Amino acid sequence: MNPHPGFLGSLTSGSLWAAAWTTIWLAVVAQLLGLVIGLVMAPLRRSRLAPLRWVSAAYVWFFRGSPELLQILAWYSVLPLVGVDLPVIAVGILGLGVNEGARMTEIVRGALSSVDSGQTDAARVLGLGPWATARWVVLPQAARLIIGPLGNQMNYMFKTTSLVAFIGIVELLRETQQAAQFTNAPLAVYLATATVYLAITSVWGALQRFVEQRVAAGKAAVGPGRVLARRRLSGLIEIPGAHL
Amino acid sequence: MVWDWDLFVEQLTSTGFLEAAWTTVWLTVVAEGLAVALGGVVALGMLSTSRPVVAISGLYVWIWRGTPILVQLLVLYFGLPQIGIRPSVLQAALLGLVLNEGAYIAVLLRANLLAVPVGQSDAGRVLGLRRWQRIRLILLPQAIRTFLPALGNQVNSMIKTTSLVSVLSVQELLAHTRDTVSETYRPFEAFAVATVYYLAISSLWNLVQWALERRSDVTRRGGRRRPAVPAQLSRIGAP
Repeated sequence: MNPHPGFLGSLTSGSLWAAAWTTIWLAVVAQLLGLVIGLVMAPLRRSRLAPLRWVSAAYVWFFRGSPELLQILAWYSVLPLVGVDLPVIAVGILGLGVNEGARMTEIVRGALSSVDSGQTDAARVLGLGPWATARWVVLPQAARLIIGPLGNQMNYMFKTTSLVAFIGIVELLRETQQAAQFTNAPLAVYLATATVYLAITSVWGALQRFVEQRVAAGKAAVGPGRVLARRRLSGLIEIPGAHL
Repeated sequence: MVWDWDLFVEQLTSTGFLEAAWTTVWLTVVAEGLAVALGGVVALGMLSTSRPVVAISGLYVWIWRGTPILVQLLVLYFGLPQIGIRPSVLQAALLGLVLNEGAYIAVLLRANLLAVPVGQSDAGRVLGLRRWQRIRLILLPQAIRTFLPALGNQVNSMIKTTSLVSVLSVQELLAHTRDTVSETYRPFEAFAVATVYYLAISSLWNLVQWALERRSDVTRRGGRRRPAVPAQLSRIGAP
């Protein structure tokens, strides 16, 4: 192995960019898992059944109260003991996603409670059931409030995936550690990796600002989606006297 | 080999775990304290009138918020000796935590400084306060009040972030846990013990934070009266 790959040599190596791709898709999948968990757990916190509220609260308290690295290492070493043998990449996604789910639960919960309760009341008065109210009235409004924090969480996730290097998943950091192992000038290798991370988070940051501007300008809400939503919604509601 | 209560209790009360937990606590406090100092300076730098100062502060924040702290720690650990500085692992760990957290604190403080209504600064100007006096006597006291809840959350994540310095083999909670697992080959109990400690530390901090926020909440403050205008300010413009 080349003892001095150097900064540019490391930055242009194919294996580094393959690892960068792993980091990106791992982050996206884990973030999606976190979002799904958040979308399930947050409404539970508002459930009429006390045990469901407790489950949601305990989940958030537990997974936000200990370090993510500890959780990943614990999943990795404890799952096989209880007879669950998952591929290591699945353990990584599980560890990242379940931890992220706790944060997303708090974010979704905050967004749901920011939607004026008059909106729910109005929907119910118009005859919408609880599901239709959630789907057509509360969620679309909450979604706008979730987009910003979700983008920030995605940005964190790109960096947080570096933790799964500890369980042997070859993403950016693990790849770097392997490359740096055989050189006597590891600094250049690590700086190249830092540059790749910086590129990923900066591109994402630019994308995020673009999306947020569109949402703020209300552009994202216009178009076929909104027209369809109106049409479907008007089918759900019986407006008194509308047939006259 | 599923769960051993005796081992769990033995490890929970062992001095090894207790000392490691203490290391986690003081690392958190020292790192967060230094990071607030650094972040304060950088926040003022980002709002400076000198363009190079703004550029340098912005560059620092961009780089340190855009890369994982693990990479930063490893760059410091491997990089500093290459340029002739040989810090101990503890020094490298603290430096890494402070530099990373400082960037996040800077952004938070900057946002809180900018959130103080412009009229406050204008009024200070009318009263003849210099720029630095306006910052120190008018902007900072108000910004710090709104910054406190965010700082509390930062401390809470710092408790967990300190676990990453285990990569430099600083003997805090997670490093001790991993050592324990490799000695006993019993991960279940050791991870459970570490989780109990982390949950205890962060739950205790939540209580402290709640009490602090109650105290600093101006809308709830009763009893002890404070002068409406700080002494330094009341002298200004007096005939």
